[in-house]
Amino acid sequence: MAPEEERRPDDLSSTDLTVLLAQLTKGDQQAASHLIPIVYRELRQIAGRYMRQERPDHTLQATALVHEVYLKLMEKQPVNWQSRAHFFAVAAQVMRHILVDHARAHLRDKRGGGQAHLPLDEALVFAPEQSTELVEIDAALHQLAELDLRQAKIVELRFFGGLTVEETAAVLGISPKTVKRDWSVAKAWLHGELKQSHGNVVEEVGDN
Amino acid sequence: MATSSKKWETIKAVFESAQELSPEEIAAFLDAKSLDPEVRAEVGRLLAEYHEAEDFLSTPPVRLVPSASSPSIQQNFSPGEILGERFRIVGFVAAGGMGVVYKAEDTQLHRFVALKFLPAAVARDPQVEARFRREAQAASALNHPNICTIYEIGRHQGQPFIVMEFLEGQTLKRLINSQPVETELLLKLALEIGDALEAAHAQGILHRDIKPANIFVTQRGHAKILDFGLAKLVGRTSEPEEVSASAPQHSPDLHSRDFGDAAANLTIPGLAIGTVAYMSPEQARGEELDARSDLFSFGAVLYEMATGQQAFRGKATAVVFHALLGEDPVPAQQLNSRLPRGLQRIINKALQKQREARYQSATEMLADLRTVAPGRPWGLIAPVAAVLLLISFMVFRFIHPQRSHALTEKDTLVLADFANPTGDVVFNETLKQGLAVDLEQSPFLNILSDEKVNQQLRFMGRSLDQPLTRDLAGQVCQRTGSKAMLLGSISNLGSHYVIGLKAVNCQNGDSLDEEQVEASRREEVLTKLHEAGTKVREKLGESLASIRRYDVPPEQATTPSLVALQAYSQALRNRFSKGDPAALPLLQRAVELDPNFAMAYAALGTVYFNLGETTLSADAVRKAYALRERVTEREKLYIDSSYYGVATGELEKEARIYEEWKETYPRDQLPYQNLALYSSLLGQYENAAAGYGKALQLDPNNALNYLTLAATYINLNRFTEARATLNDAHVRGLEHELIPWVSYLLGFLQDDSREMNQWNSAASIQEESDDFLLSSRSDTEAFHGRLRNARDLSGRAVAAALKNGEKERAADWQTHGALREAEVGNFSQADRQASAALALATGKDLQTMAALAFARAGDESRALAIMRDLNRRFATDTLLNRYWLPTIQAAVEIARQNPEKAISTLQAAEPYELGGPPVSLDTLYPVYLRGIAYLADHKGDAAAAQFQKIVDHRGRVANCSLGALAYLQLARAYVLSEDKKRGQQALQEFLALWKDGDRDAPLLREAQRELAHVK
Repeated sequence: MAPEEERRPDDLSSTDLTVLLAQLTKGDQQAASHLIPIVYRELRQIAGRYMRQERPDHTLQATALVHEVYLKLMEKQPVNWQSRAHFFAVAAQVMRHILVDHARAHLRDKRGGGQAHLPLDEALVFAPEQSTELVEIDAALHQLAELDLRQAKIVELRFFGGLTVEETAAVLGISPKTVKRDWSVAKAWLHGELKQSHGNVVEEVGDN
Repeated sequence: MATSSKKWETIKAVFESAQELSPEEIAAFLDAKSLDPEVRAEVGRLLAEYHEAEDFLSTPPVRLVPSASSPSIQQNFSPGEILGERFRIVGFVAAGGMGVVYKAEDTQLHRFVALKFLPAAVARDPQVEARFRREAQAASALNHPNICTIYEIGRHQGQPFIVMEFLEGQTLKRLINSQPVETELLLKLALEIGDALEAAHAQGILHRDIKPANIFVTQRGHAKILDFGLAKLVGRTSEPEEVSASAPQHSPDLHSRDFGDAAANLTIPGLAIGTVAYMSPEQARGEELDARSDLFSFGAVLYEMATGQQAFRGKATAVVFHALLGEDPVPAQQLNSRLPRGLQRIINKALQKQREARYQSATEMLADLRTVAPGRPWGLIAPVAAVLLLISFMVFRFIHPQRSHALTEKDTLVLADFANPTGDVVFNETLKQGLAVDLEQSPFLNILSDEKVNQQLRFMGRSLDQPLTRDLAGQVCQRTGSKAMLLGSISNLGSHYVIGLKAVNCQNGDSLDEEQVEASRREEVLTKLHEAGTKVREKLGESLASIRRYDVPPEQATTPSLVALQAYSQALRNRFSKGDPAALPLLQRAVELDPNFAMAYAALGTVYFNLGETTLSADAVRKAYALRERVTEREKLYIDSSYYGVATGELEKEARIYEEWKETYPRDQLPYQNLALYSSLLGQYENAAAGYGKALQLDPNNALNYLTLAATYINLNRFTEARATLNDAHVRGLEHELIPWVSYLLGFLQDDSREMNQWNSAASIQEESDDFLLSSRSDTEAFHGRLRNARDLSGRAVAAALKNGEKERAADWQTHGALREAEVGNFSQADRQASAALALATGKDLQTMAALAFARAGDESRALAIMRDLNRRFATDTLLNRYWLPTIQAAVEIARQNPEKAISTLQAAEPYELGGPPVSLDTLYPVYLRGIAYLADHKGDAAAAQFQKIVDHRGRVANCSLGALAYLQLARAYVLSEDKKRGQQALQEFLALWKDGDRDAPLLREAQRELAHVK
């Protein structure tokens, strides 16, 4: 999921992006792997730009950031609603990766006292006390994926990507009703898992 | 956990069906299904988790702030522990990103206080602490009853904490709880919040994070703004600030007595940070903030109080962000039709994306807030210049005198919602609606109208959306003094349905009747319900003859389609709770589902009419009329009256329908209102007063009934009674947007300058927002010959109407002004204004008045062109063709110097010439023009008789400038008949009225010359 190579967004015209999104909408997962590095790079750039403005009172949620990436990449190419949802789906995946990575690094840092390399250190900070829970949620999500892949995907889209029920339904090609149902079950299930693991922090949370 | 995928699917399915049950109901539900023990256990566990999880995962996990890597260590104090040698911990209250709050007792001053700590790690940073102190100091400078007071800053083991006022109550967020706040409370809180912001801004302190969670409502109902501690001093934004986590953050329900909320907050990863939804666009963009940014957030809070919904919503922050940067929220009044109009405007202004377009200061916003009166002055048709059409849904049900039985003629019945354990939601509202339609055709039964049920629920502080259960129906029944309630139920019996109806005396609990019928199919349910309903009618005492006469079964009336009936029922419900726009899509759907659904078309016609879509309204009403064989008697009356009122404009036919309606259902107020209007149009004000009085008696909680009755008394020159009627409305707390205007006119007529001044000054406080009053004040000026002032006020009325988004009305004021100019001889001015009005809007009434203005200004060709167009488009419209068009034609003939033709043309208008809607402008024109024509024809006596009518109808004319001009014309008529004495008197009368008139007004000079001549 991490960007093996960083293709610059400029390398791709916005037409290419539209094509990628169209492919994605049709279910071509290859397209996602092309999009991820672009989104990743943009996320970092925009986050960095915000931070350089040094406005301590400025807050933005990550999903707003994702939105801005979207606007920047897609502004010249009005795309349809479904494509937009698919874009956010990719972004949700990227966000999850970045955040969980960051949370792990933060926890390692806290334990070891050493200086960890945090890709977005200067930019994205969730309340540090959330590190533990984020890592836990991520781990539990991996488990949930084994039980019910679709539910795990729904959580990723909704929680990390901030997608609405309707958008989530569009991405997964299921009904909003199903999304709502699965989301409730997944929430309940995850809640239970997190309660169980409460107290066991990082040690058990490997890359499973 | 090893769960097979098949089991997992079962688990999900069972979970879903049990999800909405309360924890208490779950066990029984699960027990009832013979489930695999593992599945049973897992579903039970998941449901428990689900209820515990609440808004777990409901907020996105991160916020973007400058990095502040600091571990969080929660302070942990136990009750009894003493901090700073003074504060004894009572208990933990809440925690959030900005720290932890405890309730403590001040052992020196013996009062409770709240202690707020920063997260320890954050506080350990000396720079952060400095900032924290600075902010606390800034906020402690604020001494205001509506700002949570900061007493001091304490220190415990090196950690600073803020000592502040301990509040009991709840946050506004909790108070709103997705429901609109009662207007009265809303305004009270709004004034307090505005006042607090004004005070803070005056000291250069911004809040920066105004939102419902940061506003506390005390038990006594006062607002307290929290967390001014996060404010920064204005003007210091450019200074580089310490890196900290001190960005505006979610504030937990500080001090809330509800600890559950706080606890939930603690478990959420990623507390909702600096909730984007209330941010001003500039804040979202990271620009510098100023007082206007707080006012934007305040506007968003007002919006939420008014509607129960966030102004900028979205599951994803991105969506919210997008909305607040670029989209206008759904107008609040669409979501809450009872919202005072002034408040809607204030919210709109506060939520402007550009700061320059918003309120520039809290003081300014506060001034506007103070002018908003609670009440429900929204959604009424402004009766300007033309007919006031009163159409409302058929919600009035009454009964015939009949032989005494279970129910007597005075007894009222409350319909409860159906108990529906079938799980088939289509039955939820439809059965009640179906039964209501069915029972309402009976002239014997008196069913408590939805309006009155809602009114009662509001009195009881209940939500209008909740089902009227047996308990609730019982309470409503008792409180309204109704006799009985009708409880319905539907349940499954294998593949069959069992429908039950039970009538219970709500005063003593006696069962009056119980019926049960069985339907073998879903499609049969409505028919069977009808059977049961008919039996209930009989048992409750209705005569068989009456039942036979008023007994249209649902498949022949209403609709046989359950889903169409469902859409229709929801539409009616929405219309009551949210207003016309909310009903529209559902009605459209209802007629899609059943294209023969006459009542749905009729309702659509009414909704379109109220939304100003007159063409669509007429189309829908015509469709309803074509299908009117498929309705009950009552529905037919409704459709017929709408048809003649809206589609054809045939007054007499409309009146006949209302007569019939009154005969059949003598206790409905609607026919009385509309027949009274008809009398008023014919100038039969005594009859009108009787009719309006009867309507008022039938519905004494309807402000319109007072308004129309008072206006009718004014038309009868019975000013004392008019005043008393308005007072009655006032005493009952009833408000109507036209009441200030009518009171003002009454002040004018009774020569009560205090009364007028009261409205004058009220209007000036309102920053020119009441265009009715501004226009009426312009009339008063014109009446006294102060034409320059009149013009100025007219212009302001037009501007105010435009600002209120009321284009049609702005144009109305403009044509009204144009006509006035024409009457004093300023023809070019009149022409210009009428043209400008037509550029603004084009309605039938507007065109009519513009044509008259053109004709009076001598612009015949334009007048005639409009007349032809109107005549072609509204060929059957009685008032247009028999009153207005002849009047305009007469004006044209006068301009062409054909007075005789003018007089004969005006014959058509005779039946209506002294009439008009109770509240209206520009009345008695046919009389005035006939007088002018007689003058031109050198018939002094005949002319004098006409002008004398105007003088005699002083109440009707009120401050319309014709009232003053009539004296001048009367004088001319007398002079023509060689009656110099009376001519002189009338001239003096006129000159007295115009004594402060513009010196250079040509008419004034003419009058003075004429007077000199007569002498």
